[in-house]
Order: sequence, then C-alpha cells, then structure tokens
Amino acid sequence: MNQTRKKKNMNLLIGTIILLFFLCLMVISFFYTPYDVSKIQVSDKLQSPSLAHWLGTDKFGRDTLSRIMKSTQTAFFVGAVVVVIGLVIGTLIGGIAGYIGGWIDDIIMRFIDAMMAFPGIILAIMIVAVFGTGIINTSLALGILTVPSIARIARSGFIQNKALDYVVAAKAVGVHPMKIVFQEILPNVYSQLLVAGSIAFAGALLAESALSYLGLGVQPPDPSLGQMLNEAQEYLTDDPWYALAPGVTLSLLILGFYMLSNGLREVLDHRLS
Amino acid sequence: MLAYIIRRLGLLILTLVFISIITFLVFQILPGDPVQTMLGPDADPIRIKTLRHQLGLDQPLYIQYGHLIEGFIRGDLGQSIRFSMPVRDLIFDRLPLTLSLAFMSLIIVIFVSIPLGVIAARRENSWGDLLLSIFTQFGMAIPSFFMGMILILLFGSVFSLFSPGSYVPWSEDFWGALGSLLLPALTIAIPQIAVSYRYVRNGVIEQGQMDYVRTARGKGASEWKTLSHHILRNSLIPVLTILGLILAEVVAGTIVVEQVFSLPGIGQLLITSVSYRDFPVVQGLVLYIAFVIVVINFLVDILYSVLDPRIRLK
Repeated sequence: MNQTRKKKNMNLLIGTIILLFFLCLMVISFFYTPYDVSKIQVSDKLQSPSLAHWLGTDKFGRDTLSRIMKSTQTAFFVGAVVVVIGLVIGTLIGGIAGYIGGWIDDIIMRFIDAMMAFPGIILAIMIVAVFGTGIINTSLALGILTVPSIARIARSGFIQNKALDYVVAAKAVGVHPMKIVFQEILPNVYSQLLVAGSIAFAGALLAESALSYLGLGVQPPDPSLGQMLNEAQEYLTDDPWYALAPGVTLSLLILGFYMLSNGLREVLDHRLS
Repeated sequence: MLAYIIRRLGLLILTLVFISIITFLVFQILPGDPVQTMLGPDADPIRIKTLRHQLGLDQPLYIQYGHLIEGFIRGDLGQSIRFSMPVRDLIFDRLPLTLSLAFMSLIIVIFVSIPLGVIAARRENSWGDLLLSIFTQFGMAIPSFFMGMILILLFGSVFSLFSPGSYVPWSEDFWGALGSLLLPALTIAIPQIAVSYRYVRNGVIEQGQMDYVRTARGKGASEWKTLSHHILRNSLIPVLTILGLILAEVVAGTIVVEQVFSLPGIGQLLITSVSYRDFPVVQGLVLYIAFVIVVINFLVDILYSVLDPRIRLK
C-alpha cells in the first residue's frame, strides 16, 4: 500500500512541475522573448542550437525558443476555452440527464452516445471545414466535442448522489431543485469533474496540434506547436532540431496533463476509500 | 439473443439517424452561401443559380435531407466539385490503402498489447512493470504526427530502413506495400497499444485474485493453462469493449498519419477536400466514416454478448 501511495504522489508531483514550468514560460512570453517571434532573418535560417539561439532557428531564421514560448500561449488559450466550454455545457447537460432521469435522460444519452461513437478529429475537421479555421473556431469546435465525455461523467455523478440521504433530506425540507443541483450535488461531483477537465485539456492540446499540423487549426501569424511541426517536417532529416523542439514541448505538455489527471484521480480514490 | 440483437439494431439505426442529421445540419448552417463560396465572390448569378439547382440546394430542407439519405443508401453521394468525378469513385479509389493501414494497426495493437499486459501483470510492481507504465504514458502523450516523424527519423535516417512517401499499391508489389505501410501502421498503433495494454494488465491482475483461479491451481492445472484458459478469457472481456473505441481512434489516426507519410488515402482526400471547400466530398466522407465506425461498434457489441452472455441480461 505504501509503495502505491508513493507512486501516486509521483504522478501529481511530476505533472504539476511540468505544467508549472510551461505556465511560467507562457507568462514570461507575454513580456519577454529572446527574439521577436516574427522577425525574419534569412541569413540565420535552419540553425542548430547555439548560445545565440538555444533551440535553433526555423526556415525563415526565426528563433525557435521564442516561437515555442509564444506557442504555449496558444496551447493554453485553446485548452482553457475547450475545458471551460466542455465543463459548463457538459455539466449542465449531464446534470439535467442524471438528476431528472426518465425519457429526457434517454434522449440525451442516445445523442451523446452517437457523438462519442464518432472520432473527435473527424467531427472537428467537419466543423472547421464549415465555419472556417483559426484559433477561435478551433477552440469552439473542440469545446463542443468535449461536451459528451464530460456530460457522461457529470451524469453518473448526479445519479450516484441523488439517491443519497443528504439530497433526499434537502428535497424533504423543500429546497428548490435548482438549489439542490447547484449547491448540494455539484460540490460533490466537483472532484470527478476536475479529473475529467484535466484529461480534456490534454485531449484539446492533442486535437488542436493535430488540426494545426493539418493546416486546419490555428493559422499564422498565431504561432502553434502543430503548425511548427508541419513546417519542420520537410527538413526532418537535415535539421531534426527544428521538429524535435516543438514536438518534445507538445508531448511534455500533454504528458503533464495526463500525469496531473492520474495524480488527481488517485488522490480522489484514496480519499474515497 | 435475438431480442438483444434487435435492441442493439434499433440503437444502431437511431445512432445513424442522429449522425446523419448532425452532418446534414452542419453543412446547412454554412455561413453565407456555399455556392457563392465555391464559385468565388464575383461569380455569374446565372452560374450560381444553375449550380444551386444542380446541387438541389433550392429545395426545402427535409427534401434535401431525404435526397442525402436516399443517395447514401444507393451509394451515390453526388459529384466532387474539384475533381468533377462521383464522390463514390474518389472514395473507393483510396479506400484499400486506408483500410489496410487501419487493419494493420489493429493487428499490431492486439498482438503487442496483450502479451505486454500479461507480462506486466505477472510481474506486478517490478521494474519492468514500472518501466512499461512509464513508456505507455509517453506513448499516449506523444501526438501521432510527431511519433511518425520520430519513426521516420529513426528508421529512415539513422537505420536507412525506410523511405517515406514511397507508397506502392498492393496489386503491384505485396512486400513493397507491406513495407511502406508498416511504419505508418506502427505510428497509429502506439498510443492505442498504451490504452489497451492497461486494460489487459489490470484485467489479468484482477482476475488472478479470483477464487476460480485458486481452484484451477488447486486442481493442479499448469501455470500456463491457468493463464490461458482461465485468467485470460475473463480478463480480455473488458478489452473487447474498448476495441470499438480503439478502432474509432485507429480510423481517426489514419487521417493524420497519412499526411505525415504522404500516403494517398482517405485522410488525404478529406484534408484536400476541406482546403478546396469541396463540400460534397467532405460530407460523403464524414457520413461513410461514421457509418463504418458505428457498424463496427455494433458488431463488437454483438461479439461481446456472445463471449459473455451476462451482458445480454443487463
């Protein structure tokens, strides 16, 4: 038991450290980047890492480190919008389905099953195809796609809780249903939603970078890690650094959120048991 | 059993109707006029009107939806605007590549994740188990397109075993096709191996503690027989449930990974059609992909209930 507890802390610890590191990097990038992110200096193009350019330069001679720093802004922005949309709408829909039950629950769940049977990236491509690319549309499309999975978790949380004594008691003394849902049940489903939110963040980063890599997500001049990887691919064999720097950054960010969610879940399981 | 199949079939049809309505409506709420967008801002009004009529866009919504479904069932998805070719032919030309890629990925997932999961479970909390859990966490975190680049870099430049972008069709050279698809298939498979491996590992650990396993050992069954006949059979049931999910991810994976390895499959068709705003192709592809995935999920559910009759009673 002791050994598993140690491992729990590792997930949470490492995940938090990784994410704090990138959060700091993002905050710094608002005030300072080593070079101007859009400054083109063709004479410096495709350089390997050096003291002047820690992570090398891209095909236009732009500093890779500066661009990665700016890209974390895009990543955190898209992720945050996606998670907020997913959590708010997902909790609302899942909460209604779970708390009211009956045929409303049936219809909502069939709809959610239908959406979940569909690979997210294809739906996202469809939405972006129709509404256009760019950072806002990408965030909105991915946000909508996050709703079903969060609604499911919220629903099961509400179903579990509504049969418990405290809800029955609140009903008996005549508390308004809205108050029961938001003030009584929601705080008890909160921690499960937190775990779901951090997984959704990782999912959003994966999906946004994939869309941007395909040229259907965030568009220049907004920098994005997926887009940087797309540009770097041509030069993969000659200048592997060009692709490795944004790729490793992206993987670490996603790993950070996965580890955070695993760590949170284990803390939660521990508290419940 | 029949009642179960009928109930699942009803759900299948309901899901397909939902998906087709969503797809249909999304393409209805195109901002602005789709025909105008296709032809450009200074298009001739008569041409706009003709194209609108050709595409059936001047009819009421429910009739347009009816046409879409009718066409889908007959396998007629209209004409591609960019290629001036039936959408169906475009899709069928590219289908063999994408299907073989998805199939190879699935085979890799199954044949790698099950043995790995069993080994990790048998040596629970050993160094190997810990190492595997770290590896799988990385496997899930690395986006498929970056994984593809790492593999190209490793096998292409470092070991010179692979040259990207050199796809040969199956009909021309079987081994050549296999070779050119192996690395893309592996790229798609890696994150799914990570997912499936965890289910196998946890299933084997959980089932290994059951009374029936103790009984089997007590009767003198060999360790191998206990594992293969008793533990594995029960622990693979939850793996089957996520097989449908893994398949959906594999299909989605082909779309991105085809771009990394420049393979001319369904994914590439989808991406270019989106860039050229070739909406009949996009709509047809989305509908077909959804159809395939939903039907596969249905088959997995049926298979699941055959293997574990308890499911039907729920």
